Amino acid sequence: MLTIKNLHAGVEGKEILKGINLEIKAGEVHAIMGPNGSGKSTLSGVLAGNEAFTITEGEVTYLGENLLPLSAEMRALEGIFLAFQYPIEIPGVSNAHFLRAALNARRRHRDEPELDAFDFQELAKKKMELFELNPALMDRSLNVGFSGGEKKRNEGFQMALLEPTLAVMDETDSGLDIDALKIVAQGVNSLRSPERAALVITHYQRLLDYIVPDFVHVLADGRIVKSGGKELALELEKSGYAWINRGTPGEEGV
Amino acid sequence: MSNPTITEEYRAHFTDLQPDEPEALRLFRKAGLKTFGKLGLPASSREEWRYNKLTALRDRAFRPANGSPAEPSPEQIADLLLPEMETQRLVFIDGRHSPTLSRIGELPPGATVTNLTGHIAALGELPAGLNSLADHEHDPFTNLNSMFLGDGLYLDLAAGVAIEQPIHLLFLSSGDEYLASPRNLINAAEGSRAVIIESYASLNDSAAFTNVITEVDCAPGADIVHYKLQRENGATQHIGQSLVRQAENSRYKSVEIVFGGDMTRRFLKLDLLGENAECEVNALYLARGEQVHDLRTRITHAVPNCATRELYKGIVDEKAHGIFDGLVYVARDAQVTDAHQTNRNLLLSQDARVNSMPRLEIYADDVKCSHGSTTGQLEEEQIFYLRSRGLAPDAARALLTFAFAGEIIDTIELAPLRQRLSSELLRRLPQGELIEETL
Repeated sequence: MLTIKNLHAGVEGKEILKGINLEIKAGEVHAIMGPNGSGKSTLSGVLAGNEAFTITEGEVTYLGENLLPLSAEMRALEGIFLAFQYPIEIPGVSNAHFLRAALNARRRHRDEPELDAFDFQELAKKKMELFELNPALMDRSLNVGFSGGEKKRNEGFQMALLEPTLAVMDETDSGLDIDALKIVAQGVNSLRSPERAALVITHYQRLLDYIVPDFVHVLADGRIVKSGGKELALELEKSGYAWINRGTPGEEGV
Repeated sequence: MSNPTITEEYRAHFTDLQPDEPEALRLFRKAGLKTFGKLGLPASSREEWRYNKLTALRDRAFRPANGSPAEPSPEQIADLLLPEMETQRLVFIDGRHSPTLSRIGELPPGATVTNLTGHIAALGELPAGLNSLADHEHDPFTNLNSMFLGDGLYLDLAAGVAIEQPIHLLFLSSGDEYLASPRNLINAAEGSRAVIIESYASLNDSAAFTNVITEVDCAPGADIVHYKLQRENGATQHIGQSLVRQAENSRYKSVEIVFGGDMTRRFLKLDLLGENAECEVNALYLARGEQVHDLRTRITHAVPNCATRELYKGIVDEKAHGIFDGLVYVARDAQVTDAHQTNRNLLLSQDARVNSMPRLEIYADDVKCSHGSTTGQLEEEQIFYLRSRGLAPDAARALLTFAFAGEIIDTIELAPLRQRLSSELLRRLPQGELIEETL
């Protein structure tokens, strides 16, 4: 579904990603773990089409097509969804208006009939229950006055509504207490299917107890330095990231 | 000193007018003429005219409409009549009352809603309050209005009287280089209540000059909500002043929406003269093309325990120019004043221009006051967030711009008026049609 080859990217002339290689197949959940500053958020931004980042080398193919020339909105329409680490507050734009516009843009793109306000409300209500969100939030301004947990659950809710082919979750666990984390994970797990894939980016192993990945990759200084199965996350939890310069977790001397 | 020929031209127009009217009004006009002749148009070097040069008004003198106005049929102006609302309605064309288009229904005892010159004719003298708040000593436009005084609302509410239906004043301009000089006088006695919609529009695309004065006197406990909608054509010069006096426990709320005009200058002077009086003043101006929208407020807290909430927001696109100049003055005795003034501007193009001058002058020591001003563009991270959900960049921008303005539209308490202005805003915004279906 997604193939990243030798991807170099940065911001304002500073190289942050220094040759990423990654292959994600349909049905798979991959986790990317790494310390702060390793390039996790740059990778998610690049995949979502954030023009603040410059790509200097490499290629990314998504569903067999070159992803990089596509605009952010075209990527969204083609099924890529980024759950933001810091969801943006937009005063005056109601959650409901915004999401109906987003959903109908995607439905038009797929030649599906648009949803009217009533059908949309029904659908949204169901999906909100999944994330235990208060339905009153639909009429509030997008993310304005939402608690940290509500913002993240709102990201999950948007994802459930838009049903992406590839979900990229950028540190969705940060700022979540354990109950909220379980709720979000449950919602995400309900989306898992053989046609879909997810890239879960996180600093901590904790989230991966609930969204169990098929593969775990360790990102350090803009490169994937180690890949493995879900057990790699547990090793990282024990030994932290300090081993990275030496090559293998668990070999860290005291 | 301003161009003396323009002053002479206005004087000549004045001589041409021979209205048959009470002596008191004739003298009132003459006093206006005398002072205007002395003052002339304001010198552009003066601070309050630094950013707004009044170019079109210095070019030529506009002439007052003469003879009887060519009245449109009610069908022609159906939409301007706010068909979705039950109102008490007074319609004026080029500043002159149109009895056929006006419609005043049943009123509670103690309420007078009529046209000002009709009231003066019936009274045989000037009503109390006329020119009591307007600056007829120093302001040329007040005097220009007095000398050519057209017509407008005369509203008198006895103590405790409430008019439930909004009073809709529709001032139409038929263009043709006409000067319209509407004048509104509102006297709200103790505990009375009314909602006023003061609306300006054009019947065609030709140039005109509207110079209006509205005086509002709120007695103790009076409650006046005042909507002002400026939607004249892009060839019109508009100078509008609202002068408000508030006694104790009164509430005055103003929402100004400025979409139209070539040059529009709206001035709001508000004096809080009795304790526990409150005012809420909001405005939205949307300037495009080469429009100039110039909004000024002077709010004086003269006594303790009053509150001001002021929020003025501008959207300035293309080569347009937005100006905000607001002063909240807190006198030495006005302890425990609670006053907040905010001006926010959104620039949608490289050539758009804004001058923002928010000011607080505080001489009391126990007050809660703030002011702030921001001028900027749409935030890239907000645009990206919307795009990442599949919205096209133009739609994302339109949605954010609409939301910026929505904060003011939402302060309109009359639901049908709020909905009307919300859809109109959408039509006037660049790419507004892209988000129409979502709202």
